[in-house]
Amino acid sequence: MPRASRVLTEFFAGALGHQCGKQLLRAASTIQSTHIGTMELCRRCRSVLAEGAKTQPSLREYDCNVVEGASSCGPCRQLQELEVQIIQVETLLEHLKRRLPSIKTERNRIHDHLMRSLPPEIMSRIFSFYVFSSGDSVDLESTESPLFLGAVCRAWRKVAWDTPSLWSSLKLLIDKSPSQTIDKSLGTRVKVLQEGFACSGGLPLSLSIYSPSKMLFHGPGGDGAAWKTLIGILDRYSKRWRVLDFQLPVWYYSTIARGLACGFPNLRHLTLIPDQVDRFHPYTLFGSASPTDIPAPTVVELARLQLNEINISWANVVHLELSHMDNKQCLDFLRRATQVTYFKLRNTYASSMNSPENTTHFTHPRLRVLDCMGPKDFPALVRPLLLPSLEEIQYYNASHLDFPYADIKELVLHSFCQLKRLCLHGDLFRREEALMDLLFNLPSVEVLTLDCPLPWNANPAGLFSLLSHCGSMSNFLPNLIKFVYKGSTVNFPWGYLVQLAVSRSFEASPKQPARPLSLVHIQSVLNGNSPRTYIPKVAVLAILAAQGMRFKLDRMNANADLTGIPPEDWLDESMKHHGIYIPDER
Amino acid sequence: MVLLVTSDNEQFNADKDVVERSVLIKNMLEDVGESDQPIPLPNVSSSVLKKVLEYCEHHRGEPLPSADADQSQDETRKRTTDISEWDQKFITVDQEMLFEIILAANYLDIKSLLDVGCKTVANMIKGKTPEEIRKLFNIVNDFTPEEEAQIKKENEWAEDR
Repeated sequence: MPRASRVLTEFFAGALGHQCGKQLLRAASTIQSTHIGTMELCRRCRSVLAEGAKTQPSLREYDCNVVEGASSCGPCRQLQELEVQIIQVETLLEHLKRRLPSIKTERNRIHDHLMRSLPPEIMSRIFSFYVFSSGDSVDLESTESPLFLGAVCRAWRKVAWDTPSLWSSLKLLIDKSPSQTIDKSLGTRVKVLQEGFACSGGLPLSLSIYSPSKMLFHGPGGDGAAWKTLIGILDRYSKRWRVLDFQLPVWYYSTIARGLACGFPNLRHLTLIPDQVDRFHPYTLFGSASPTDIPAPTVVELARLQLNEINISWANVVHLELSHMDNKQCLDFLRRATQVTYFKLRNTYASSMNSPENTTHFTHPRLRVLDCMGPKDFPALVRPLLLPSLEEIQYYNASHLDFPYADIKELVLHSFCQLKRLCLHGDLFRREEALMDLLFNLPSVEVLTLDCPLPWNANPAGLFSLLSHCGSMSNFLPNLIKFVYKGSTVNFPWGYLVQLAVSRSFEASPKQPARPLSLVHIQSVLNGNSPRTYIPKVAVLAILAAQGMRFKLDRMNANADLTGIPPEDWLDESMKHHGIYIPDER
Repeated sequence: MVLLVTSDNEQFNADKDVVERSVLIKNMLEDVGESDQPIPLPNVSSSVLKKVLEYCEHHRGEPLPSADADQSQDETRKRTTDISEWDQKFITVDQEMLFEIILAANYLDIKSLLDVGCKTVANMIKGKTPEEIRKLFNIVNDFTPEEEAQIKKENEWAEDR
């Protein structure tokens, strides 16, 4: 008979055999000594109370005025006895239930295949792979968070809670669930954050807070207690913050600015992206930091902020990303960040004020990479700039804007820089002669990427014609090593590609050496209606026979970035289509 | 050639550059110098060592991770759980053997193999609910009602979404 059943059977045999309350209590005291350590008697009815008796039902008194001998009437006595028994059984049941988890834990220790086989340090490693497999910080809402691991069993929870690295880089999504108020919802999250960071040992910390839906927020809501706790967390770990990334509704930035008492001297990466410009609540982030505690990050990403709204040391900033700012603001930041080597601009716009400061040239001696997307009034942005160390330009043009070839050329020429990498994205062939003019003026370029998703009938014939004459036309990109063309291949000039493939063999001469072009990557971008074409056989053969030049040809759908479908090997498919077989590896 | 002796007293001969993928054996060989003495591996059985040597043989000549690789990995945090095709085939074994390989890789200090094993277990857990994980590893839910309530609270907003 299982032990639990045996205990109950013995108990019932003992309890039911007695008629008077006194005897019942004696029976109860037997149970007390063998199974229940802390049993008490109720002062009022003298029934047995278990641990936490306040929550147990107490023995009801029956007002009996019919006396049989020295005690109450039979039914009243039976009722009372029965109630005592019920309480005792419930007490025992409660006690047994309480024993269950520890026995289950003991059972897991023996049966959990993973925990039994692997020591905690390896479990920590496994958990680390699990938690950081999809990013460099832990989204507490995802199923790949340590909270999720901690919900499996006590042993897993202990390993997860004892692994500081799982808790040192947390991401928090502030959102409102349909059933909760903003503050309550944030309160739960902040409490988890607080407990999480408490498990992080002494590791450097990283916190990302973001809100995907600005429409939900018009202020902290409630009494803002959760928000105060959050600011308290920031202050408490002020010396340990390595990464802070706030992508929040604008309201919160002034709240943070007012609430923070400390600076973050060890901060390396700072991202501040409010959803709007706040003209009504002037603030300075980290304004109360002492001079020795001012954040001195190396990577800064900002949106919609002005220089006076953020008090950091710019001396260490090497990577600066700005978005949704006017040209003047962008230049103001760049002037301060004198060590920046990578400067990224997204959705910048023309400055409303025509400050004389913006028209005077200034030299930025360190900037090596300029990465712009859709800037409005690009000429005004780059006109004052002299970038002698500039090595790379990435320019993504909005479809409705004219490509600023002349301004890019002007920037490079007046900066006297040796541009090595150029990546242009947009409707590049609408003004093909301007593109050619730019390329003719950039002889130092070694890597050229032309990403031309639209229009579908774009024709890069002129470009490939110039590239194919690598010997005799060496003043056109003479140092080009890698060329990438992404775009439509509807009117693709295969004849020039064939010429390019064989050019190294025929055109180079000791007097006029060939261009060092060693990799040509053509990526055919298909739209939904594009016919499934193949590379012409003559081109396939020329590519396979090319000497000293590698060709990579693949194709992908226009929306592949969204679908994540990798490009297909177009060359391989075309070889199969034409029945071309090479026994050895290409 | 290096002679290795397993816990069940089987002997394995392997090339030095193969067994030196194990930092433990590499250090032992450096300490001992040129010697014909067999190296005892009391924590590794023959069936597991066979698998480990198969792995080392395949990855022979690849650069060994530097001592501070772990630290720099922690710095960048992101730890992909992608496993190469060969490694994936190699590690397709039963749970018992998988855990034995992980333990052996840990003991022999073969970081890349340890990572392949740990990633495999991480991938086994991925996408599963706590209940499914319990089933997979023969675990029972041993939380008290109070702990259960706490866990529910910790995860309640995720459930709300």
